[in-house]
Amino acid sequence: MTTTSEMLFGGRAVLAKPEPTTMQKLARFMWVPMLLMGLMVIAASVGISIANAAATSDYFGLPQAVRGAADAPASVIDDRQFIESTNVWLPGFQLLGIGLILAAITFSLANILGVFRAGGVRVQQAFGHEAETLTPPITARLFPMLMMMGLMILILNLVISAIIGGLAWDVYGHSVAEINAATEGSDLLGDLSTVNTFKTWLAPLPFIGIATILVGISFAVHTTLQVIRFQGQRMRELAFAGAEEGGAR
Amino acid sequence: MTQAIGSLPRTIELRAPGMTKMQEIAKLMWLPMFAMGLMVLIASLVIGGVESVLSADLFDLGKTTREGTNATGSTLDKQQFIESTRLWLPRFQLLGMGLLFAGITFLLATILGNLRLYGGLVQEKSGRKVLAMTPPWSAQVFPIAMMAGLMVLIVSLVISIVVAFIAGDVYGNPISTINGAGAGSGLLDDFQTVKTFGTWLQSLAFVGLALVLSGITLALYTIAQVLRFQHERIAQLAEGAE
Repeated sequence: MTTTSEMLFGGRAVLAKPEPTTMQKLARFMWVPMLLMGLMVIAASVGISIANAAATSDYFGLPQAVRGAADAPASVIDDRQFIESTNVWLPGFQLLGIGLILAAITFSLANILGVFRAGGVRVQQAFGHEAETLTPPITARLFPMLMMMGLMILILNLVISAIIGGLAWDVYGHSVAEINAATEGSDLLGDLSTVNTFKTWLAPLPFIGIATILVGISFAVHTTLQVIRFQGQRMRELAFAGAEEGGAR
Repeated sequence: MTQAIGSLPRTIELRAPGMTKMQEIAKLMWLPMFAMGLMVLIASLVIGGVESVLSADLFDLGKTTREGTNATGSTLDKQQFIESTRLWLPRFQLLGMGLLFAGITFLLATILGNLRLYGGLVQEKSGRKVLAMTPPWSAQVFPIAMMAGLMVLIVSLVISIVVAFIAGDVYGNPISTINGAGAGSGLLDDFQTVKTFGTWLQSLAFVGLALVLSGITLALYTIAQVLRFQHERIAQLAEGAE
């Protein structure tokens, strides 16, 4: 049975069993790995930052004349390679960690929706009435997709950053003097240009991923609000039906 | 009194319906947290605007004027402000975000308090025992995660401010003087400190943000547990349980 309600965006459906949807069952377990993966990514990025800080300390502990010389020691060039390539991909990696934790929040909200669905049916059946539930509104269909799309953007950003990080490794494998002296049309100048160009647009890209996940979270919260409104309405209907039955007796 | 009833998780019997002390505090705290977070973000927007004006002034000058040994006092002042602000402003912004997320955590704790209060009132009005769920582990952990996250964000901001003062000293010198600093000189040591701290401080701030967000995830898990308990309890009341 599907009827519409003027208060709600979705219609109504009758359920026989008090259980969540498959996606909600999945969400009940998935928030834990998502949270753990997010925390692990953030912890790993702290470790990488410390290694980067050690290389930075070694590099900037030397006078500019040594750092910028054409015959700079190999260890100085190694430090610069590590610093410059890490600076390209590390921010994207950190934001992937935050994105995974936000995905855990999305799964937690889906879990709450599952609890409302199963619990609502259980309560209506306990009162001896037909168990009705809200047919999923459009926001309920969209929020898991938005969450997955946001994560895909963050992963894509990390993959591109890793490739550009590799290119930066090649470029900064040369001394500063060599890079500065690179002539127009040379491969070195071309690679330097690619690194700097990609760095410019790779900075905002992960924020689009984070924003997409946050839109998904607001859709999930809106769905929860719809479900709570439906359950309130259904409780009033049950109470009214109970009062009518009592009056008829 | 703690007991396991039917398919309910472990419960405690309450003398009267009500919120816990932490939930009472959360009811009052979410608004100041939101307000503080917004104020921090607005302040950082204003500081960002000032920094941008000074950057425009500084980069209007030719490289030799900006970086030469005879750079004027006002040029060096602008350089000092820009370089030291770049060190602490990102952490200040993340603290603003952290405060907003802490506001959400307090709001979720308020929802938990309302579920406890009104769940108890329904049971009391029906003349049955007032049962509440024994707080799950996540209920104990989420306020700690939120507070630990805020502490990390504050610590990273304090360190950033200290390092920003060192940056102020370093960039009070013309760039040509900084580039010419010899090995073992105080200026090169300070420059090294500024660069090194700048590298790992942002990661530290991200740890703080991750902890606050983890607190939100755990608070939502707690809400799911409480809702599961309350649906089951109402169903049991309908079936005539005490």
